[in-house]
Amino acid sequence: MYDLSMVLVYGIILLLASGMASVLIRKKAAQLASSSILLALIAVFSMFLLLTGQNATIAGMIAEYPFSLLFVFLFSITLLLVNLLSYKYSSDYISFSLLFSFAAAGAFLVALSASLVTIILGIELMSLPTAFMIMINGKKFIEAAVKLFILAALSIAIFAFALALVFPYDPSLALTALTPNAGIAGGTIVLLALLLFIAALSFDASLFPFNLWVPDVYEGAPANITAMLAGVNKKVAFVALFEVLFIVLLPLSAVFSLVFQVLAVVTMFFGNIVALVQTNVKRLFAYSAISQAGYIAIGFSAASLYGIEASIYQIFAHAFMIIGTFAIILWLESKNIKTIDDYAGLGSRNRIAAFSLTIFMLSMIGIPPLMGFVGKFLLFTSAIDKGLLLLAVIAIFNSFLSIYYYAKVILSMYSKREKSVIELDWAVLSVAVFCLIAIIALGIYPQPLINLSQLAGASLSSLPV
Amino acid sequence: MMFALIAILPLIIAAFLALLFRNNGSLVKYAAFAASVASLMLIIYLYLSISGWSSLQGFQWFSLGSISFNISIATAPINMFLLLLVGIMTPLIFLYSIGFMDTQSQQARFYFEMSIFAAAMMLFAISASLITMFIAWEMLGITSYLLIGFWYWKEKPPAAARKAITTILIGDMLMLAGILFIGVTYGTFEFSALFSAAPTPALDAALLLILLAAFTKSAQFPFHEWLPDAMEGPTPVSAFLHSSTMVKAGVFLIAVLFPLYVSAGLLPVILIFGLISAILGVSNALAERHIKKILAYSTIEDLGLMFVALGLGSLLGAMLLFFVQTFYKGLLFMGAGSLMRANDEREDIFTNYSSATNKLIFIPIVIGALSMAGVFPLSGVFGKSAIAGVAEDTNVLAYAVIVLLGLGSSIYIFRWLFIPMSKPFKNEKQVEVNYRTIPKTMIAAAIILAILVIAAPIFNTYPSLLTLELSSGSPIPISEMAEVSVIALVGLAIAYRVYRQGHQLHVASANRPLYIAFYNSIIVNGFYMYLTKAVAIAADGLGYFDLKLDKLTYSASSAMLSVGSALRKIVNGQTNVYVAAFVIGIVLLLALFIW
Repeated sequence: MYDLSMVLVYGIILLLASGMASVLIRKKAAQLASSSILLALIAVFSMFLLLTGQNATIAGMIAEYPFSLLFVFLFSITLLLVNLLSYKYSSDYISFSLLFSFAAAGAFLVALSASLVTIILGIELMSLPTAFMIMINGKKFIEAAVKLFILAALSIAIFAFALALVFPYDPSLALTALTPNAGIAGGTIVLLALLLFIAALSFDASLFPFNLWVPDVYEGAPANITAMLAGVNKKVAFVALFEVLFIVLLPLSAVFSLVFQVLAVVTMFFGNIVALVQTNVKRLFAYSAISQAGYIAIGFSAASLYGIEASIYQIFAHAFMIIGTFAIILWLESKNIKTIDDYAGLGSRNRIAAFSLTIFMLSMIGIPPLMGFVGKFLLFTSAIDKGLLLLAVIAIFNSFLSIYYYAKVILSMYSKREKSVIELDWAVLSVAVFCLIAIIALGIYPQPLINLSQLAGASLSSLPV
Repeated sequence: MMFALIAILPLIIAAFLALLFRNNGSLVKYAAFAASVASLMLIIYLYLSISGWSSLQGFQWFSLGSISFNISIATAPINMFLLLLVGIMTPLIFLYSIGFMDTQSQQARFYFEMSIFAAAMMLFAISASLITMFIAWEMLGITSYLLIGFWYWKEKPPAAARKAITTILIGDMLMLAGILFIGVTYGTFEFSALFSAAPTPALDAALLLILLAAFTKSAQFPFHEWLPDAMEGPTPVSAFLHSSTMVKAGVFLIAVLFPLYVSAGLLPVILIFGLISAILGVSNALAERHIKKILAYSTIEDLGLMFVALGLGSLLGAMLLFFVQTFYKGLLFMGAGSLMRANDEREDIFTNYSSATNKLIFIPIVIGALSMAGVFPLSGVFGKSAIAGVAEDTNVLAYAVIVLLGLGSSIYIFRWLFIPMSKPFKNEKQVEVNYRTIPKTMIAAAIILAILVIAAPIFNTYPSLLTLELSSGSPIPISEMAEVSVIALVGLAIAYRVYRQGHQLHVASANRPLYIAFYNSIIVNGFYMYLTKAVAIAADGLGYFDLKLDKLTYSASSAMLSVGSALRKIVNGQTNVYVAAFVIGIVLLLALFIW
């Protein structure tokens, strides 16, 4: 049998090449086709490698194992969805494509990384083009872009500093467990490094208080980029957190469990309570996305294999929910429908859009048998399993709080009858329907994804159950 | 494999038909009715064919390590009991709806939501694990929300629906917490496994949470306020909600888990909350003027009495009232619906005219009222006397309260009946015409229910038919039934004396102290008002913080003249706050670690 491990790398290189070629060829449709096909191929191939159980390490920088392959699969799908949306709504799709291919390569690099250096390279490769992807849409987006740029730079700087702190312990910077007493007195430096890693990655993962940029940037950016920020960049940060915490800093799991308990609680409260008073739907979902990050953090607090599995499941669930949601918001924004009051009557103006948005929100609340329910159920179970009763109760209380603002939107959509029908276009329709099917199907039959995340979790970390 | 689920299938199909043919109202309504009849047939077949009673079937939905989440259903007697009740009520409600909804728009949506609602209750009836139960529980909550707010373009229904969903969702969260405690402690969600599990503090806590959740669904104190408001929904919804679905779910859940509550020593809690709710229900019903709200408060009383019976340790008493209440409450609501239709949807009993001119409507209502009050030999008496009998033997105080409540409920239900009657028809030809033109299906459904009310005692003479294995089932003493009947008749006499003869003198003046205390329960409502206010203030506070950030952004962006100055403004104005937060966050993390 041939060694297939390089094929994935070639795929990513081809994606980059097609992005660069598009600047020369300047054919929008051709670029959409080539990048979409490449992303789809990457998705199929990573799933193939995952299912056939092929592992490989390339040049000490890239590692293919179930965890990384599962996330390459997720990112290729979510990026494909963002790409579709952007084709229709980006004002300069050609420039977008170039930046997009870099960002995509960055996301894949983080998932595939075998070393801390690859992680920082991947994050840099992803964050900076994203800021420019916002900027190319016109002057009014510059503010959001600059905010993102500055804070991304800060987070990368802090990550680099943390990297320097762990360097003396393991000069190879490989993704292997650190031994805290490797010739240097005291573990304080490692602890400091741990906190800085968490702080740096909490920026993109949008955990409080590192997330104050989120509402402004999510609202200020075009909704297709917001979908990317919430559906891809945020998840990449969680993947990096998985790799750093559960591989490199595994011996300190008691410490980061405590840190994440605090982060999860404050993030959930911050997101949910501030969302209560929002009137702009996009900003509301920015806060909702923050609270969802808080739920995902519960899996890190549990610091167990169950916790990892539950978090992975919830990351998948939220990626589909939020991309579907922002797809519809994007489409409505182009019709100048922005506030909750503007949404009144959407139920009669476009049934499919209102129905899918309702399902996405019900899933975010955690109504069975949707994906969000299974995810939350697994997360809360993992927390209680580790004796974190209070955390679970607070999380359940928070999902109750969230009902208020989701219900506000749902009620508004179905509150009055409007005659003027508005039509969905193919890009938004296909993205929304894809996410809808994923959320319902994987909610009713979640076992395959749970099995995969079990496989991924076991390959990631040597934690006991 | 899971045959019982097939009984639900027709309703699901009907729901999809309603989605597909949403512009063809007549097709949808007959399809829904036919589906409910088919469902009833299947349930009866199931009922007759299952020989091994306690069959339990299930499959794994998903699993996490050693914890497996199962969908499982049971066809034990108690499950079949509720399944049959829902199965009987669904076609009757749908039959009534055909007439009731004939002038309404959006019929397809109505039958879609009703079919799902009925299907959810059937699933609830046969669920044998906390997971299955929770799914049905959530479906009930959401569909009831949609149905209460069915007329969303009117003023009151959306608010009523919001109140209902708030209460119900509090319950859902409590329930979820309870389920998780149990699941993680025992690694299983099956009812059957729980009965044999060793008791732990976690189980007690979980049972308490589930009890509170049951209170929210069954509208018990302090979660009862949503039920009277829920009267804003269409009348068939009220009739369905109050008789066999939704509010019965809480009582039923406690009944299914009854052995656990006995061993956890939670019965006194159930008893006290049941008594308080029943007292609140009766006192509110005595002061209320809204024709359907009187019945709603009466439901709170009925459910309170069921909880009292459970609290006294009498599963049989609770299930008997559960059974008979289904028919008389459904019947009374159907009567109220006809009355309102004839009176141009007026809701105040003081301005309504009675249906006495149309005997086909009037007699079933009278039968329902007599049964509710507890007059022998109509079915209501069996439920009430069973509970009174148990109370007499075990708890004298509770017994005294129950007797008083019996008197009170008899008075208010006859007040409900007499006040509209005591007005002479003068120039109200239109109302008379309206009564003559009430759709036949509405009348037919009420008559069938009236027959069931009369015939229901048969089930009591053959307790093995429905309440098999529920209890050893000592028969209810005749003396107890006589007592309940006498109390009911005394109430009837008082009501006749006060309300039938010249009600104008007794129109409740709004400033009498008792009236103030009870009418629309100002005290409880006030408490909720303060609660919501407190939440709103907290939200506003944080909102203000958000607004500040927003303002800063806005002032920064509005001052933008060029890209360069924009950059400068943003860097100087806004982003430094975020950077500061970033740094403060790191410092706080360090502090956390040092501490």
